[in-house]
Amino acid sequence: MSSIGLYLLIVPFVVALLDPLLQRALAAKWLAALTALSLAVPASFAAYVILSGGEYAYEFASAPALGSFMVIVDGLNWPIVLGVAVVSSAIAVYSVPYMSKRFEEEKRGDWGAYFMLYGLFAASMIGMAEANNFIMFYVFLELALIPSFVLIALYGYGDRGRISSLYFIWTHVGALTFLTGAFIYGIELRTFNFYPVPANVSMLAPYAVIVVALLMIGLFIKMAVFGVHAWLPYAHAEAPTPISALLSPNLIGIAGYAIVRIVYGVFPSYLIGAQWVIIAFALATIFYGGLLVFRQWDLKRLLAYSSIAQMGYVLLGIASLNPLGIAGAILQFYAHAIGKSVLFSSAGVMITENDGLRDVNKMGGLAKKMPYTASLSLWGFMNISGLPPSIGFFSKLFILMGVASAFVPKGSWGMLVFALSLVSLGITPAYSFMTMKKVFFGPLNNQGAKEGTLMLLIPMVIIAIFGLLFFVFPGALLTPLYAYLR
Amino acid sequence: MSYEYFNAIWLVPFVASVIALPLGLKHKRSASLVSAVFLAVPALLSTYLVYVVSATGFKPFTTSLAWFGFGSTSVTVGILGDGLSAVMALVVSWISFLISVYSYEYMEGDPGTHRYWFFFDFFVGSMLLLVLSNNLVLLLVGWEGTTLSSYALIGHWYTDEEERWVGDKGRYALGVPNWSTPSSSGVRAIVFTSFADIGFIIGVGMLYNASGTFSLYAISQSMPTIISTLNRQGMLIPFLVLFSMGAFAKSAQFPFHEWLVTAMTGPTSVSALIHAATMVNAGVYFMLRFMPMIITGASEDGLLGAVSPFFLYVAVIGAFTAFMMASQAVVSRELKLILAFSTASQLGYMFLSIGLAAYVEPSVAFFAAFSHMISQALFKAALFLAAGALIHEFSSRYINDMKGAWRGMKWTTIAFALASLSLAGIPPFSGFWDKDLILDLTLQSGLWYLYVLALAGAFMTAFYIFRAFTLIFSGKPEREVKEPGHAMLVPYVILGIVTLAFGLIWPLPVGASTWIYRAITVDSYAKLQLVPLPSFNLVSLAISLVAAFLGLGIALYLYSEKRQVYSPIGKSGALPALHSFLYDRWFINSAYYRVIVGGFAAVSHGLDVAEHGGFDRFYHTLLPSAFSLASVKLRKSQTGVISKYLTALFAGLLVMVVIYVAFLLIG
Repeated sequence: MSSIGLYLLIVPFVVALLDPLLQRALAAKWLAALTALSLAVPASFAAYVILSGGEYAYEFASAPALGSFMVIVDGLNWPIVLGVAVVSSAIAVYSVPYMSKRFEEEKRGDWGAYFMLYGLFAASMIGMAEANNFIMFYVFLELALIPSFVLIALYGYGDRGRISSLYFIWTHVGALTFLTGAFIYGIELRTFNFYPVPANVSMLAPYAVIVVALLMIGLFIKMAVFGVHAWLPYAHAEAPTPISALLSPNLIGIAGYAIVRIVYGVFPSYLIGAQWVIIAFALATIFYGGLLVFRQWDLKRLLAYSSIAQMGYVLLGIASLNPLGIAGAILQFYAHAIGKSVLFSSAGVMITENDGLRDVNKMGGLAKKMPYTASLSLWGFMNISGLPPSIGFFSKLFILMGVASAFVPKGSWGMLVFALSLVSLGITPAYSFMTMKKVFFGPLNNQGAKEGTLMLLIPMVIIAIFGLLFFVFPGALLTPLYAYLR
Repeated sequence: MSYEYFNAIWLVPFVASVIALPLGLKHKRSASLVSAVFLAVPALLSTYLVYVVSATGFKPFTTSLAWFGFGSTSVTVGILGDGLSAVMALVVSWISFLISVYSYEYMEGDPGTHRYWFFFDFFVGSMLLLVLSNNLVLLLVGWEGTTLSSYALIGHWYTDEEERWVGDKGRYALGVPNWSTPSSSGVRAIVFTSFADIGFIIGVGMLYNASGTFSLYAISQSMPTIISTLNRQGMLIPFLVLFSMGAFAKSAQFPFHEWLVTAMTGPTSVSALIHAATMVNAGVYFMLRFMPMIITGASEDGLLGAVSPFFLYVAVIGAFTAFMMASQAVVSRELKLILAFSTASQLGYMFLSIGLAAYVEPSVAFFAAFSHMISQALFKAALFLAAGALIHEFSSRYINDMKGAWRGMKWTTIAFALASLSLAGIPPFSGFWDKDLILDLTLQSGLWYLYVLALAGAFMTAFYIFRAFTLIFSGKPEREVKEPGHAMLVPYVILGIVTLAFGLIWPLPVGASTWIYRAITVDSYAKLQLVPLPSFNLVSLAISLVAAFLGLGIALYLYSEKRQVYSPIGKSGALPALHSFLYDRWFINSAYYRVIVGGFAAVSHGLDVAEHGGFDRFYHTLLPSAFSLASVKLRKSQTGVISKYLTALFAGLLVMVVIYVAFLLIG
């Protein structure tokens, strides 16, 4: 296989590292454009590979006892790569007006550093999605965590010192739990590969339960599943909004992808034994996150709780343990990436254009003054509620089809799962459209409210179009994804 | 022969929708004009579709364009042309076209015209897609597309000015407001319907799991297998309930009926189109599409007994909704609310009839429901459109503010009267023929309690609509009223005339009834039998005629100008209590807010306490303080005194040796 995929994956990292040097020569908007383009490079390659009907796996190094190191593009990670790239490219542009305002407020700021950290953060998420090996995955994980931590610490809101360290410690507890599982795996099997699945994987048997448990706990923390979700509302609400727009849908969702790729890919039989546990966590997460949305008055915190609930959707699809539901879970990553990044960006428009407006109770009737933001927010909520013509329609459809297929043979317990799914999934449209009403409809509360500038709105529109595009052509995501899962 | 061009029926409205949005921002009239012109295309084309389908003796055809595939399943963009879908498309597209003409004038000068047309056209496209789709995925796209546009149009006047509200401001029932604003009505509608749609989608999943296909044709062919599989899994009834849940909510059947009542905050043209004549019929269409194949599939398996509890449930819900909503219409003062209650009530009759399919000849039961759906679409659209003109003319939504409209609005009166007579079930209107058939079937089924509910509902129907009619049109107007312009007037006059014509040709030997009956029976996917339609049962006929005329007569007598018994109910006693019970919608809305919304709010509050007092405090206060406490305590052991360190070292070694020896002894 040609090495081109590897080099194209490296492009955004190189650009990110050059940003501090380029900032003398280039204005912020050119740095943004460069970052956006560089992030589109690996995704375009993935699109080329997948849409021409192929897969890509290139081994660039290998070592005894460590296994091989590969860059992979296949049906399973293609929606992830695409989702990350679309959101991070567009948000790079959105960052320019948003962060220049933020720099003004803070009376400091450095475009070179910002785009370096931003680029590393975003590119590492693509790296995580394309990794085949625990070591590589973990390195990219750290490469995503540290820049995002620094960005929160430097440009976050509120008590950002405490919140950034809270984020750092939490995610490291998760990462190290995961890493412990990976070490047992690697030491026993003498390879850290999870793809392709090592031939001697059955040798792990005496420790497999422990490995699966450690990996799952680590990923659950990363994903903010019910019980270990407490860090998410702080980090996602107080991060600078462009970072929230990347953190909330992308980074946490990759943990869901990792469950599918690693745990389901290598240890499917162990998950079957834990199916009831997973579905219980999934439903609890949807229910808990969804109901807590109603208690939030800070728009960004509200969206953060909604992200917890949406991760419950991903887990619900996974819990079905069949190709339908898992395909739904991966599509849900994409749909949530589109929807939630548009929603966070809309919240950002309120913040930049309306003097830090974040309190939902002070909003109301804003559709009159901000029709484009209102329309985009509606689109965001449609994606997460699964209404056509958004890609969320398909993710909800496939998750529920997976659940139906998995639990139809399980008698009254199956009925219980259906009843609970009905109740917990019903919460999403309720909070979505209640929020629309509170923020945008009713009598106008804020006479001076202003619509966002084009530089804020156009990136949002671009993200939104990618939600429509794959509703019209769902096969581009679904067909290779399903083929992989079978 | 290729019929791909029939896809234009649903595609053209979507194109119109995309054009109307940017166009309407600057040129409002052009957006209206473009929409009306574009919507003429599906109307003409679906007329041709009906011709094609009927010319081939109602043989179903499908078209297919590849859309996407996964595994061995491929999903196509394709339409199913059969009697049911063609007639549905005909009704939907013509009513949509007429209402778009009406809207041209009705929405004139509205600042949100671009949004109006965007969602209006989007709705028409979605609805026609729903009706024509040959597979479940596309049907769901249309289905949820109508949900979205319904939400947007109910909340069209999103700034919530008081004149856009429904219900009585300041009136509380059990502490819950009786009124609703456009923005909250929109939320109510989408929450009710998308909740139920989750059940629908789970049902689709169960169906796919059992059959491996989304194609309506393939599903109909393997229905006997699907039913026996689900029956073996003990999931037959849960499947039926979940699968049809979306239809119950769309068609505003109890317990999902409440959203339709407050949906009246939308523009009246929208109420006519979406919440009377088309979208609410989607649930009935769904039942007519799937219930026949379930009945015939189950009888092939000999499992009719296993599905009949579900059909009884459908019939009971239908009859109950028909009765309950009619009773609420009796006391309502808002014209649009009366019509909304009436819509849910009439849809209840259709559900009743569908439910009876397990008890009487199924073909006839389905036919009665279908025919009544067509009648209802026609007369209810006419009533709503006329209501829009009346509300505008009297600048009030209350019928007791309207008086003597006959003087200035002769055409409106005629159209309203024609439609009301059909609704009331007076011969020779179609509302008489098919409602009588439904009542007759109910009597035949032997389920007497359903008959009592349905008959009482029929009596109340005649009463409430003529109560409104008498109040609005009789007497002397307080000020001069006049007819609306032609764009508004002509559509509902046409609908009134069509209502009459449909009734006149209904019973003819080669009339509408036999044609429609053949359309949904001959060669249908569900393999329904074309048994002869029953002749009139004179006893049932006499009873329902008496009920209708009695209701009509009492209303005319009580509410004519001379009597004015409009508000003689006293302050205390049973009558005001009954009135309040009916006026406050059987307190069901209040119960929902108190129990369901209140329950969720309490749980949400409780979880919030758990979040802050539990998780947050544990992780972010207790855990860190435990660590810092441990740090403080452990630090004290670092004394720097060598002798203490050595003691600790030897103590540690001793423990290790003991453990080692213990292991040796055990091993």
